[in-house]
Amino acid sequence: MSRPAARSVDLALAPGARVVIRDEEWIVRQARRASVGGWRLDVTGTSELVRGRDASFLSDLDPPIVLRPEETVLVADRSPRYRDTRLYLDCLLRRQPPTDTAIHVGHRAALRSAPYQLQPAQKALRQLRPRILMADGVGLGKTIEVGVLLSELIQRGRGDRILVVALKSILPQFQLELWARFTIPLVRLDSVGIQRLQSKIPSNQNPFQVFDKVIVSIDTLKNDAKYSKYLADARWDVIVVDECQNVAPRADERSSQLSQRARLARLLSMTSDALILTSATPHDGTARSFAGLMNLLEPTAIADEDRYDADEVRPLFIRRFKKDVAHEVGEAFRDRALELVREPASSEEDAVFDLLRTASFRTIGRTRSGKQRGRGILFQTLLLKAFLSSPVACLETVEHRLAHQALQEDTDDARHDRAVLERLAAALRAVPTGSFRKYQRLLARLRALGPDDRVVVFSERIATLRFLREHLLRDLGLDADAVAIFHGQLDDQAQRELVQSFGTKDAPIRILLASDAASEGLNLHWFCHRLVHFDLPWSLITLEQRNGRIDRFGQAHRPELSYLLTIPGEPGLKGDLRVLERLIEKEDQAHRNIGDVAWLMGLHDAEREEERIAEGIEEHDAPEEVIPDDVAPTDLFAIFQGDGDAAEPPAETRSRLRLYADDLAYARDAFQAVLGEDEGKHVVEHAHKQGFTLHPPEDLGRRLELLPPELWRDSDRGFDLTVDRGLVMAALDEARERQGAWPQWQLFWELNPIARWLDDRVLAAFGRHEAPVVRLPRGLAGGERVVVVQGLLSNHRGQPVLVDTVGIPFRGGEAGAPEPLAELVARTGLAGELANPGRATVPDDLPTLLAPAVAAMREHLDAQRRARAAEIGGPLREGMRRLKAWRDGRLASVEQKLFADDKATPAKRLLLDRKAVAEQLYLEREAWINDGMRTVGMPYIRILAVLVPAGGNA
Amino acid sequence: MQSLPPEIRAVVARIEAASLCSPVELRQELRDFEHGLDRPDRAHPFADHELARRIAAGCQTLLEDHTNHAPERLRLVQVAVRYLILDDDAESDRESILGFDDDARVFDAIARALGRPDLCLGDHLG
Repeated sequence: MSRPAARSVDLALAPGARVVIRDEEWIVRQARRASVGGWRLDVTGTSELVRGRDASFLSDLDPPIVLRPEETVLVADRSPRYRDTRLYLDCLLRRQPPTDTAIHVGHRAALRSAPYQLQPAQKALRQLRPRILMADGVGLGKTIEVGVLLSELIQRGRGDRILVVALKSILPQFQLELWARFTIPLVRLDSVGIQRLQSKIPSNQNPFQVFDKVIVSIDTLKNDAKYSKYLADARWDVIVVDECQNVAPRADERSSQLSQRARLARLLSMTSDALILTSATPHDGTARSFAGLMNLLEPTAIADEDRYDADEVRPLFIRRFKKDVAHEVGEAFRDRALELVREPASSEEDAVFDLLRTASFRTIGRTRSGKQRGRGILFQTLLLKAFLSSPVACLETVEHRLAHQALQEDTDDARHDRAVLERLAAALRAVPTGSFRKYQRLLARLRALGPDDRVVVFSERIATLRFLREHLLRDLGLDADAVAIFHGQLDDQAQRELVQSFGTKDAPIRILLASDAASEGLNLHWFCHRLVHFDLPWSLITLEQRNGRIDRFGQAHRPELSYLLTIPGEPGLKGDLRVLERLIEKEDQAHRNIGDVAWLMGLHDAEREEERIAEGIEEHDAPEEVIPDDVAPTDLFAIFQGDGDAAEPPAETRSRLRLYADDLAYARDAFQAVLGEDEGKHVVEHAHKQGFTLHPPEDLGRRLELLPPELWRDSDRGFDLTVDRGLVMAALDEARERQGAWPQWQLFWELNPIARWLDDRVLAAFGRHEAPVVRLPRGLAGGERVVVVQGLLSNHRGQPVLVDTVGIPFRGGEAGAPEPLAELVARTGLAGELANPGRATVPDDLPTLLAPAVAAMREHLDAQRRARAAEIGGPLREGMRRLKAWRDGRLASVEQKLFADDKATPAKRLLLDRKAVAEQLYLEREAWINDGMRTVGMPYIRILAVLVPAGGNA
Repeated sequence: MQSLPPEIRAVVARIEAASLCSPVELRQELRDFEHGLDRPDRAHPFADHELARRIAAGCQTLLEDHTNHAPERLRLVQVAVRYLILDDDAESDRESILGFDDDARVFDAIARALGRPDLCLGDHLG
């Protein structure tokens, strides 16, 4: 065989390519642009000296020699049933990235997905740049929707580097779901993860460049300057921002200096191709706030941020509610049972209510907190709210106020307020636990539960939660670990352990006492379907979020929601508090009808809702005035109303062509073919589980080192893999029964890192630059030869853009039109049982067919390339023209303002910043088109096999 | 031509300085350009090749109009032709997806200057 010709490294470095570097042969696993120039090649050795070794090379230092397909050595396949050929072909088909917009893998993950959960992925894939806001309502399973899209992107070679940004309390849950259902291995960088990391990599090394798939908390990125610097230096294929409202720029941000969160949002939006945002509360009711999120996805989507229509933003988001999808999911959503407990106040409690009703203060006015922008809440109302939580919560507020400096002064006003507060404190201390009616009711309810039943009890006040824990432990005679408190002041590790424990069946925890820090995003429904509102948050949005913790997709039982209300004896106050009952009633109504509770009060912000309800109580407004019956329609409301599931076409799913019945049959043959006698002992099949246990051979062990350490727990007994999705899901359920455990069974499918290792071994099993010759008993005409060729065009980042596998038929020595592989397989029976007659010769004419076959494939790919350019050129140009007009408009306006302002003011700095952003965005989009959409000049082509007729026809 | 952005005017000025060619030569240059248009090293694959072909056709029409006219008018047509053919113009035909937009603007300006606004292609620019 002549020495392979060297090629320019830009020509063909697609995954799967065989190259010679340092005189050894390697298979390219991944080719990426190196920051120092040229390419970084991640390869696996195939020649004897380096077989199975993973390595990375820089093409500028070690130029690869790409093997010429025309010089492929044809060898007769002597394996039984043509096993080696079938493995080789099937393996390449498993790896073949889809280039259309259908769902190819996501729907085959370990889940009982509903059709609506595939639609977001489909919608994103239909865009040239997959960028989408998944804004489904609470409890619809957005993590699954994210997983489906990530799987599709990974399979397309566009999800090698993934960054997930989530709330710290969500990290473990998100990580586990993506691993267990989709085998996407995210390395978690929470406080423990970062600590662990420090022992693994040098302290000055950027962890975002060491690990390809990472999950990190928003707090870490926001608060740790080192990590935001790391982020700025890294480039991702996909970024997922869960609960993106926590990083989105605020509606009023334009007029002020850019906040830290806005800078983070911008950074996140600019360091990846694909961007997935999730949020159940994607706006504050103003068009501008929603435009902020849309601009993160596509800065040119909206011309006027205050006024735009559905057509401008519809491609960028999807938003459905339970009512939209209930018909698809059957029992995955259970109808909720709601109970409103009106507990009449005890005489001691009424004494407190009377004092609160008549109290007036001279030194204390209204108070505001957080995002409250109105006139604030009267201190008396705050005290009332605290008392509606518990006497101890109210007492805490009173005592806190008594210690306030303003009340220490020797003035009549201070003396007056001190006296009022001291009377109140005395009355609060005089409410014995036995007369704290709501607590007694809760106690009775909990006593009625079985020993294994779990319940979540929500309260706004940590003082109430502490009271409940202390008294419930004593009154129910429970062990200390049966009742736990979750609140926002716990560190991430404590939060993680608590949530994990509550989602684990064998954990001792029975009652989770939670503040509203737990109301966002957490899955508390695995072993719990009872939720008690010990107090009310005075906000429809928070109420809905609380309920969504157990009333969500996948809840196995009917969710039971209980609201405990203390009803004062005094009719006036009783009337004022009717608004709280209306709150409950309207939340339930919205849940069943319009879906989005935030439209009811039209405030779209929990704290503003709280303020409005407080005002209603203070002003004695009728409950119907505070929470109206009808939604006031706005342009934004119209945009969302038009986007129910009916507006979204059903997702199209496709199955790939395969030569084996399933992945297990493939694995069985693959292990037989590629593992030596010693290594063969590493695999034990479990036929009844449709799976096997694998003790990782050395090369696999090395490869798995950079995967999440959670995977290695219990790995002494090997990794258990199965193709049975039901078993994987059962294992996930079972893992939830053991605290901190990851599921015993992993899904064995094309995305599993172990399956990818096995594929690499299969590809490497063929000798250097060889392809098999197969003699087929049927389907081929006498003298016919078919050269099976795979061609791949990559973009300038080495990602596949166009891939096709075809047969080039030769009849009478002439190359015919390329035949789709599916048709070839159907006519020749390649996917069925084949007998190998064992004739070990290669017909002489075959090598001469390779050059014309490669030429025919080049022509075929060139035609496909032109067709693709014609198809996507128009939309790309349209987007680019829009961006150009946007940039030019922005630059002109900035120039004009800069001209008018010749001083170095903060406003000027902001203008210059805007100018830089506009220019950067334009350049970034140009680079994306040139690096991400444009194909490299020459395709990568490989000969996969040559088919000839068996027997006398050969 | 004064309405064109300065970066385009700079390239036009460069082209204007070249010596005048015959209409026959310019027609040949246009034909060669059209033949090579699909080559990735000639034009950006996602650039508007159809627009480029329409500019070429418009140039051919202008050439026919002005074959026997004054040299200064033919020079203008030559500018339109050469601007189209030149890859490294204000918006590179090879590097930019909008590589032919500036060519169309130059052509439109020249078509108007020569009294043929009916040949203008501005509507192609979206």
